[in-house]
Amino acid sequence: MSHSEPDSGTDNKSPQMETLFSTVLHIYEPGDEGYQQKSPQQETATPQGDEVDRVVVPEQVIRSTETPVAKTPESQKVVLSTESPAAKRLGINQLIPKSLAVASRPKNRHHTTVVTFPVGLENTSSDSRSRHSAQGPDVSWDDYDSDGDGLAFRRNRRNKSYRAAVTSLDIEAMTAGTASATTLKRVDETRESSPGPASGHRRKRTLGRKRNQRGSFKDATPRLYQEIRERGLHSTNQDEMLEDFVVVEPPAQDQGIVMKSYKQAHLTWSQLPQVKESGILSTITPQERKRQEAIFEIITSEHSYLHSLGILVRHFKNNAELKNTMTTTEHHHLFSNISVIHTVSQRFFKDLENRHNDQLLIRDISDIVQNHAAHHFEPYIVYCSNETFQQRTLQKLLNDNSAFKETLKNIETSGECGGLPMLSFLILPMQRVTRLPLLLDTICQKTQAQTAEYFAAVWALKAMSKLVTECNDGARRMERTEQMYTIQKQMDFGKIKPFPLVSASRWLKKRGELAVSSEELSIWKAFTTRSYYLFLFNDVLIVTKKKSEESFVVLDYATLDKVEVEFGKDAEGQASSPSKNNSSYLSFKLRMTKNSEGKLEQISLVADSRVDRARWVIALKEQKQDKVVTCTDGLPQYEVTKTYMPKEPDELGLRQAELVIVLQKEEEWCYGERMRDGESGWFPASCATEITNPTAVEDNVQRMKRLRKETNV
Amino acid sequence: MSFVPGKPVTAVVQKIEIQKLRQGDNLILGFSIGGGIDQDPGQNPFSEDKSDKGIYVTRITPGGPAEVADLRVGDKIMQVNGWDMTVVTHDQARKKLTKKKEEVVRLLITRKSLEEAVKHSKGCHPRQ
Repeated sequence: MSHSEPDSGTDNKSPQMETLFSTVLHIYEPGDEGYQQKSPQQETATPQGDEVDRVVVPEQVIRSTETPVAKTPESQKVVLSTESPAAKRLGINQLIPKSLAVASRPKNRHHTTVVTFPVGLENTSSDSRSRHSAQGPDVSWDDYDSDGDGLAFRRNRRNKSYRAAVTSLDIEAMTAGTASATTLKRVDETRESSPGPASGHRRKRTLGRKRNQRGSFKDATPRLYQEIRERGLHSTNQDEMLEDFVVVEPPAQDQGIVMKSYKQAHLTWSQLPQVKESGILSTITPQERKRQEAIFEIITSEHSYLHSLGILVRHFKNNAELKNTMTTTEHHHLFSNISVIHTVSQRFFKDLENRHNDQLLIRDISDIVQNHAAHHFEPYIVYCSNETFQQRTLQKLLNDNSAFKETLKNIETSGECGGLPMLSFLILPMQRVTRLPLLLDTICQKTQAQTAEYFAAVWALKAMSKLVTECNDGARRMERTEQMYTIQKQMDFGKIKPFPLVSASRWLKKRGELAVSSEELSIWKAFTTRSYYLFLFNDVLIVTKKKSEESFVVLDYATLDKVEVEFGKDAEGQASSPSKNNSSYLSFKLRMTKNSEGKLEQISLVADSRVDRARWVIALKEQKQDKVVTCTDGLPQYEVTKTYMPKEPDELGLRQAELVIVLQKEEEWCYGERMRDGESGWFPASCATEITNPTAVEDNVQRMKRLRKETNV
Repeated sequence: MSFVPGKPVTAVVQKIEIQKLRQGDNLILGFSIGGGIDQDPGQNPFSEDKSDKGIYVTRITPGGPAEVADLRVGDKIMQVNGWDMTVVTHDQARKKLTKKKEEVVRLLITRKSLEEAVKHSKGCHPRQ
């Protein structure tokens, strides 16, 4: 009966006591020493119904730091958790068979000893504490005290919460004043995690789990999200990597003390100790394993993202010094609702983690994702829409406000931020929200089709994609509206018949200065202008003369369907020497069949370079082409290596690890289409490299197609 | 081609007749469709109005019946054999196109270039 006590720990006083130890720690066999002693006393000595299967180690034994299984019948009433598997588990050792136990136990034991015994033993415990503390010196009693609720869902502290819980027990013990009252509620560190399914080696697993589960992917310092490139984003190589990884490892059971460093770079699900120990790797199919990996990756990446967000909120947003260097409006524009996003992410992660703890082999996280994407992620839309304001405010502050710049530099160079600039933190939500659909898609791929999980995954993916679109739309709308207002203010129509510029469906596509071809100037040199400044909107072209940086006089305009463009007549002779000083090979003609006065007008313009000309021509012609385009199959795919912020309206913003299909290349600029949403624009060729692996190319195409549903008929 | 709820939609359409090709047990048309009222319209690279949830042609199999019949990528399908395609789900659209009993589908499609062409011809010949 002592073997399997039901969890009567529910009547323990402190809610913080995790009393789920149940029968997991089945360490002592009937033949064990001390076992007999325990049973009779157990009932009497533990009003709280301690589940300890083990013998309670009386004072003397502990002090002697010997095998805890001492036969000390006299003080059986004191039930100490020192012998509890919990204590053992706390150590860096695995739970080892009794025969080997001697060396390791003392370490664990002392830790709890301190707590349970009101005075006396504290000195002993303190030495062992340092020995014992696996997480290094950062654990201190102060931490425990401050850790108000021992069960606080803290990163890095999970395996210490046991101690915190024990601490609170200690207080009770103290107040109770008697040794007997210090019946330790054996704190079961594995409270959060269910014992899990099929495993015979419960104790090992729980040991592993306690130590490892929390420590495994929640390292003391999770990596910053900026540095992670989720494996789920790679379509091809991931599988091979996993393939050869898993097969090899034989479950290394409790052979002696195993010290693992859990600060691994990229812990995968298969590498989790509890997974290895439970042996399910051999029972699941490879596809299922990959699916689990993908799910796990979402969880770990969310963890890392949360960590980085936390840094942003704590170190940048809440920094009083920084706040003082700017106005409240600026502060608001700069940080927007990042705190709300932080909270949202915390909730999301919490749900994910709960699921991870409940089930070793996770059935599905799609419901969690769907729920959050549909109902809780609205702040992302707000944040993304605010992106332009944010960028602009940051730019302005960096340029004009030296106090801000100084303070920011100080914060950035402090260790916490990993030396990364604040900008990289600010764009985290955008990065995260665009990566999530891709990660979800990976799960969809690995889920067996036509099962309930598959449909759930597809729904989740849709919900997330919808969110991303809304974010994109929001951002774009804000940007355009603002731009239109600015331009409207700068335009002076002069003698030309004005027309309302600001409209919900109009945005600027390109603007720039173009010189007038010298041929035309020959006669009217004195009177005509040397250069025009063109504004190309999505439906109208305005030709102006620039008076100053902020003001333009409109000379002419035409709707785009009335505009035609053709290359200058020397287009064929481009190969000829560039020394021609009229550089007519860079010219192109702009013909307006119906301008502001209803007449035919023609201008011959010269661009600065071939790239420039190509850009103008493409921009002007784009209307004609229907955008139907290209079957983009067969065109080269490029992967973005460096984030690129668009500086002009016809440029394409690119984030690292994105994919683009290149339609045209001109000197060091490329004109391409973003795979994630089909937007096209120019970007420097140096930001991207070509993907040459044909499998990868095909996979990417397929993936994009899945993200936009398409059926063959 | 934007759609105002409640108002009739007008468009310049072209009739395209496609003979299905037998491939084993199936009758195929040789193109792919995307879109639908249950899909995300923002992902559609062909639509002018990003809230257009109509059915669009996303791919044409080279040499297939659709290509032969002059269907083009980016065309929006308005009707199939008399059935409306502007307000249907993706799956409904697929079903209308893949009826086993029908060997021919008559589509009404619209594309921007058709509109342009008509406008242009109207513009140049105002008497028309």
